[in-house]
Amino acid sequence: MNKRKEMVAGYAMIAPAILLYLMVGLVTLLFSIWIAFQHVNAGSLISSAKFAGFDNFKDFLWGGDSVATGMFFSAIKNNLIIAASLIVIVIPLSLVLAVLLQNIRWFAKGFRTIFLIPMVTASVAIFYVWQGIYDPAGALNTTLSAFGLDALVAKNGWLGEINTALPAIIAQTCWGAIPATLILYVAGLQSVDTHLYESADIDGATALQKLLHITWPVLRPITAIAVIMTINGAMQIFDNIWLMTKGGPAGSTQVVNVLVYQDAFASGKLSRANAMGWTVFLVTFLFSLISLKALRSKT
Amino acid sequence: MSNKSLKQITIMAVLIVWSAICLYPLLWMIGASLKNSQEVMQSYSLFPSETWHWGIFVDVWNKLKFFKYFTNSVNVTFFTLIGVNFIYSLGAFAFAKLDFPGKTAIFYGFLAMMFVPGITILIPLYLTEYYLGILNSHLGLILPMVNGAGPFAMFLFRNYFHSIPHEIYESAKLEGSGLFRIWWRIYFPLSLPAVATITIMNFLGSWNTLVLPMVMLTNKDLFTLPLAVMLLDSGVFRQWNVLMAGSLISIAPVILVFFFMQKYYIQGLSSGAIKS
Amino acid sequence: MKKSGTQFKWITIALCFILVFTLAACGEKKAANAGSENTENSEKSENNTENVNPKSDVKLTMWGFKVAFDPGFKAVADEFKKRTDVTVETQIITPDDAYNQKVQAAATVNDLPDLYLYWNGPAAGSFDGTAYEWSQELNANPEWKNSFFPSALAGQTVAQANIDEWQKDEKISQWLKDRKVDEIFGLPIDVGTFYTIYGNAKLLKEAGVPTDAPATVEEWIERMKMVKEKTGKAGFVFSGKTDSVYENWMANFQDYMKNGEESFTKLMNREGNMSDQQHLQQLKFIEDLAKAKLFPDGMVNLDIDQSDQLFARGDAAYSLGGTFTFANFSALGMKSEDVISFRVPAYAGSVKPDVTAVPFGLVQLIVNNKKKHVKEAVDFVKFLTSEEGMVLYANAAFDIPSVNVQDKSKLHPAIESMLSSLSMEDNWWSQNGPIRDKVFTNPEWRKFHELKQKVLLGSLTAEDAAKSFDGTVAKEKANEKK
Repeated sequence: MNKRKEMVAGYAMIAPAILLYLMVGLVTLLFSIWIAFQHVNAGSLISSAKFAGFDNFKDFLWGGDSVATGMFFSAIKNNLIIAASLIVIVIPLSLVLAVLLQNIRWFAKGFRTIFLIPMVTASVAIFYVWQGIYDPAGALNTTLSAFGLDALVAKNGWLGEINTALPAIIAQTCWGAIPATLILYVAGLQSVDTHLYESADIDGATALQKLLHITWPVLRPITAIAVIMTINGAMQIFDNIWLMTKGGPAGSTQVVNVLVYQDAFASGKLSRANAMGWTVFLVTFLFSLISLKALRSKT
Repeated sequence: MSNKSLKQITIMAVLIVWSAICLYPLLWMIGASLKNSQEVMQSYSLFPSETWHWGIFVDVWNKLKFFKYFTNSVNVTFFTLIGVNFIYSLGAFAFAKLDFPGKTAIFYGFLAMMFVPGITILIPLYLTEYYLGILNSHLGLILPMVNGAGPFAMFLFRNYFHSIPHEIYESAKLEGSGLFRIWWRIYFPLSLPAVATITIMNFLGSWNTLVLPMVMLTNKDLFTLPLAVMLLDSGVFRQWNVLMAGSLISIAPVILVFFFMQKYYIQGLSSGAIKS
Repeated sequence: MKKSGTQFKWITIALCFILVFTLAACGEKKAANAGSENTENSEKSENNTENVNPKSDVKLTMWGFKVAFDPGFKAVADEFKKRTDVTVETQIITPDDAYNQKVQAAATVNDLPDLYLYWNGPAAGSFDGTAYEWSQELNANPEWKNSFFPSALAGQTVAQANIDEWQKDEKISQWLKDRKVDEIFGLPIDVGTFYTIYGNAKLLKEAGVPTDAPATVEEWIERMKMVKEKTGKAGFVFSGKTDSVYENWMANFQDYMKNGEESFTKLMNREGNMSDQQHLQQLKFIEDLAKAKLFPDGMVNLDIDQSDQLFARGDAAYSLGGTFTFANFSALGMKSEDVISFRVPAYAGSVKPDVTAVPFGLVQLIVNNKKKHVKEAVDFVKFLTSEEGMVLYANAAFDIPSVNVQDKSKLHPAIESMLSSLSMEDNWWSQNGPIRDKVFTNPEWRKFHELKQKVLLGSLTAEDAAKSFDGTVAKEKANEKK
């Protein structure tokens, strides 16, 4: 009797979410999957689509279009490089900053507000600002030569050279991504019960013991969230790259979503764009599952 | 004693350096908006060399019809936030505390949606909205944004509910409280830190969102602020000072809200500490 | 006590929110509808006061993507309203990316407006019968048809070459496969051409370089070198970030001049090799200029806008553009006497060094065949492309009209002088759009953009880049045969 009541209540409680999901989410996704298996090109209507089987996937996975295949795999590689760099940079740095914020005695609130600014200013304009910073005559090059580091100056601008463009994009992405992770850690650290620290002090626990037994259990789920958010963010990265480099120079910052956008709206290959999108979805999903498993087992 | 203050000074130094990195682009925007249209293209100095053109803000304010677009943005953002927080807190409670068939499968199916690439589904979403009749309306922005924020909100809420000691749930049940009541009176108030985090994140997302309204809205009267800023960028060439001033105006409310949200955020956190 | 008080407060607040949420969600659409009804009503009453006997209360919507064109359409729409009482309302969506998104999305659900602008091309933007077909209308009125510049109309007309392409492509819709020669799905509203080099006269004089057109590319490069030597400024700038600017605005035309139509066609049809001496100059030019440091630093990451700006502020002696670029320079504050222009120079020993760059249509206006008021929309386009409409449009939009206006004195002097400098006689180049357009459709040219950027940055030699291009062509050709 009770079980049944619980079941009804459970379904009732998830009903609004599921309803919305069915209404705007699922229908859209099914549409998108359907399109991925059809031929729909620019200047044509969806209603005149033709069944394509795996043709669209073949185009960029097995050399059906050799250029697209090459670009797709180098784009995936770049996405993975970005994801790995973000995990290695953003998560530790955010944690360190969050811990420092907790330990500073003056102006902690002020610092926290300032640290969130990159997130607050996240708009199209900020990407133009970064473009200016990376310009051949921009702030970064000027600062470097002012410190006598002329060897490090990127002559064509940081976004204009094949080996500096991706690092420059990653640096900018980290800058924008740190606040969201930082805020998670700040929230996590503050929800750690301070009484536990006090009683641990009485028991004579070391700092490391406190970290492992009190802080980490709270931070672990948060880290899992942060890692998944970061992976997902890196796989879906688009705005900053589209506005700053369009994937160039010479494909050095090419990522999958830029290819998807070019196919869907510039060259009018809507079907291939959807097929590509779903492929990335699978890659991201698998990648996230693996990292989730890894974080879980590392208790 | 001196060891402690040395430590404080080191921390302070690190935080100040990071603050500078965080602030520099914003200062650059302010500086660029105060230059005249010639200087802004020619020099990369942080602030204008001669006159500071404060008048640009007045010009842009008038051109932008700020208040109208502001109201639109508030409208869209507000309802998105309400939707996200209530719908997914309730759902997460069911996933965290109740037992029903298919629970795990539904939950993970729901989470998987987080990885669906937004750009890919733009045209399919347009089709869906067309058939729902919500194209060219604010509802057509709110619903997909709420739905898009769903997986992460659900995930976060469920995690928080798991971290709340199970005894609270048991004792409330023994007292004879209904399940909705337990969620509403105990779990929702206890999860305010999660509410704050989700609110902050989605506030930004929905306030700054550009591509979605660009495709879904045609009627200028419904435009949100970022779209209005794009209208400023539609001349023969890009007027950096105008664009930067417009962006600053559109960002200003976010910064203000953030300033106040911090307080609320800390309150939410302290109420979360009751859990022991 | 206190606890239940806060709970009560919470529930009240939450209930209010939910109530407001539902109300707003439901009310919003109605409010929006009411709003539009109101404006319609007020406009109707306005009409009534203006005209005692309203001939029509039809309202057409038109989408466009160029802010500069809008005054032109408004001027024509005002005049059109005076005569027919049909209102044409224009809506501008910028930038181009956003416009394209919007049109593609709207097309999928037949939600396009009565009239919309689109980039020029046979059946481009026609969306499987959404676009009105003009050939009957045009043939019924030969005078009107002949008033268009032939090259402008030719760029809109379905040719046998297009049909061959579509027949070959399995992925293409049945509607496109069923097209016939001479069909026209949108009328050109303006003409223009690429292949234009602009020079900064001030900078050239400062370096002691003649301000006339150089006879060959080789001579032109020498002039750039002199500028670099004397002033330290870059010789030549174009957008290295936007694909196809160099390819489509300059290199392909030069290749055609150098080798003639047969060799050029072979290259485009995957039968020639980029690494052959006759075509290698397409990449060699980039390599030579990069080695001599004649490009500005960071050119690889410049947009078209940014490239124009760099030239306008005097940081490069020459810039690549089209007839439409000149207006940008004056908007950027350059004096017209400081700007010189000439056709892209030919290489020494070219087969056809004197080909004129015939202007073609740039933008077309399409009538949506699936709307209620097709007749009114067709009438509007007819009026726009009449001599009177074109003069109104051109003068207000500052655009070169697609119709050969007989009374040139009615045109703005600047437009008239631009027009008189263009030759409108058809030639092979203007008639063979489908061959040129392979730059946009064939994947190897997507690869070319990347290779070009590598050569520009010195990480690849022109020869290796050309070999890589040929390798891609070979792969694509193998795919084609399957």
